[in-house]
Amino acid sequence: MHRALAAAAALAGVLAPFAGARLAAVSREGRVAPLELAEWIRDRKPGVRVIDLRPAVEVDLVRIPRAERIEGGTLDAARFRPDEILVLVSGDGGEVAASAWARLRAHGHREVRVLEGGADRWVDDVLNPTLAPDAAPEAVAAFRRTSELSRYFGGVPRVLPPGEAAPRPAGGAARHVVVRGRGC
Amino acid sequence: MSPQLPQLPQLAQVAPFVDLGTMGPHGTLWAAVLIGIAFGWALERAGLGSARRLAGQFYLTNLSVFRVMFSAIVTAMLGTYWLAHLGMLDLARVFVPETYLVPQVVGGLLFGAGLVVAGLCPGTSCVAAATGRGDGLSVMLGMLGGVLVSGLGLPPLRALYESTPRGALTIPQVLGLPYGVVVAGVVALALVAFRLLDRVERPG
Repeated sequence: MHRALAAAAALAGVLAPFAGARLAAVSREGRVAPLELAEWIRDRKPGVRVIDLRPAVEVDLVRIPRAERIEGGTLDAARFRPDEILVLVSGDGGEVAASAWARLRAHGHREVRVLEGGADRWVDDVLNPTLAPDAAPEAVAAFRRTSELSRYFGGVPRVLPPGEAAPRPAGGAARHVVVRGRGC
Repeated sequence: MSPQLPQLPQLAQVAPFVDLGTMGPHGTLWAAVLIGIAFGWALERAGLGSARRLAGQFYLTNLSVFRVMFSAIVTAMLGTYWLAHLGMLDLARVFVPETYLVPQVVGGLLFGAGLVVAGLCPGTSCVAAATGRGDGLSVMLGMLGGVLVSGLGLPPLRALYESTPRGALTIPQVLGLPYGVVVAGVVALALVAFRLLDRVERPG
C-alpha cells in the first residue's frame, strides 16, 4: 500500500513540470476588476499608475488609457513611488502580470494589483459590455452604470437581441483588430 | 522548447467554494467542522496525541511526526496543483498569507521551543485533550492563554509584528523556478527523506 502511494506521488511529481506554467497565485486583494480600474482612470484616482506589460504590437491593438508600457524584463529597473497604486496589465492569461506582481511585492511595493483577465477582459467588460434581453432589474441598473463608463472609453454597450447568447471571448489578435483605435 | 503534456480536460471550476458560490458560508463552516474532526481522527490514529511520540522527533527515536506531516504536505500540494491544472480550483483566488521575515522567525523559534517543552503542538494538544490526556489539556489552556496575552500585548509589539514585510511569497517566486519544477522537487525530497528515515531513526 505504502509503495503504491509513493509510486503515485512520484508519478504526479515527475509529470508536474511538464503540465505547463499556467498557474500563478495572486491574492484576492492583489487584483482589480476592469470596471473598477475604468472608474479609477475616469475619476483620476490619485496615485494610480497602470503598467502595461504586453508586447508593443498588442498594446497598439488595445490601448488602456493612461497605461505606460514597460517590458517585463526591465521592470526591476523602473522606479515607483511607495504611495503609488500599481496596476499590472498582461494579455496572456495573466502569468506575466502575476509574476511581475510577485516580484514587485517581494521588493516591498504594497499596493500592486493585477488587472483581472488582462486586456481581454478590459475589452469584454469595458468596451463591449452586453445585457441579456431578459435580464433582472438589478442587472439592467448595473448595465446602465456600466454603459456610461463604457461610452467614456469609446466602448459600444449593447442589449442582445432575443435568442442571442453573450459573445464568447475569442481571445487573440483577431478580436483585438475589431476594437483597434478605440479607447482614450 | 521543453516537452509539455497534452492539454488536460478542463472540468467545472468549483473551488474555492465560497468565492465561486459552490458552497454558502454555513456550508463552509460545516465543512470546516467535518474536516477538523477528520484531521483530529487522523492525528490520533497516527499516534500524534502522545507527547512522548512527538518529543521522540527531537531525539530521533520516533519520526512519525515527520512522516505524517510531510505526507500531508505532499498530498495537499499535489492535490492543489493538479486540481488547478484540471480547472477545478482557481489558484489565483486561494489566499496566500503574507511573509513578515523577522516576526515569523521569532514566532517560529518560540513555537519550536514550546513544542519541545510541551511535546505537543496546537493540533495535537487538542487531540491529546480529546482523548483525556491531562498534558494535552494543559497545553491547550496555555496556548489559549498565550493567544489572549499576545492579543492584549500587541500595541507595544506592533513595530516588530509589522516589520520586514515581503508580500505573499511562494517558493516558486523565491527560487525563480516554475511551479511544476518545485512540486517535483518537493516530491523527490519527500521520497528520499522517507527512504533515509529508516536509517536515521533509533527506536528507543
